[in-house]
Amino acid sequence: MQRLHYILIAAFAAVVLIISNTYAAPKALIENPVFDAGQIPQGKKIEHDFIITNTGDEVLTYKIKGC
Amino acid sequence: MLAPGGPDINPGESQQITIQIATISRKGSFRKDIYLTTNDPDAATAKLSIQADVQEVIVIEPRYINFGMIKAGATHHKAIQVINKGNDPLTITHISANPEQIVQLVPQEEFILAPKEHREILLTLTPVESKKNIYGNLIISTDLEYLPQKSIRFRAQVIPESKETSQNTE
Repeated sequence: MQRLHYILIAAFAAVVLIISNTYAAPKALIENPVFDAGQIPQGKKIEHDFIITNTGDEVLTYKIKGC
Repeated sequence: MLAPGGPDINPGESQQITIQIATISRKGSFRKDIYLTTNDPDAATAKLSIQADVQEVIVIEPRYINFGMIKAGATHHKAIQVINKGNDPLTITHISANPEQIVQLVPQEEFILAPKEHREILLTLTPVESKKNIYGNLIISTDLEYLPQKSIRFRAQVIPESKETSQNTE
């Protein structure tokens, strides 16, 4: 009976582990993805820092396309 | 143009993505979109956008000079206007052209343009027969912090003296 109890606990732990691995994922959050620099004189360089946050529970990786 | 801090972000952490856009060849309203690909299953692509309204302070008209077909050995003139569209006085510190051997400019010395003021610059081209096509640049140097130089291109097709020109000199 005690052996069956251990088996059930182990099975439950395995299911929890599988489920948690299945649903663990990174999540990218960019709070202000549009920046309006307004009126600027020609020649002045526009520079802006965007902040990207990983609100998920796995490592987030990203690549910038086309630059 | 872009200076990403790094490709990996741990859970709960943030990273800065710096974007720089040069405006030297832009004017008016524009929008630049930058796309990121991520391993976020819900947002495989994310978009960052920068928009601005670029104000021309110094305007050169026309923006391109075409002398057309011109005779070798003769002198040909074109006038351009330099306009200060800004709200402050603008100093034109120097004007030059290349190839300088066949182009003369008047004036060449420094002058100041008040806001909304314009001034004419006369280009005189004296082509040599050996060159069929001439391509050059007119370079206008200013005291503007963000735009120390502005250039416009010019071209001409040189024909022998005996042929008729399709465009009169000005």
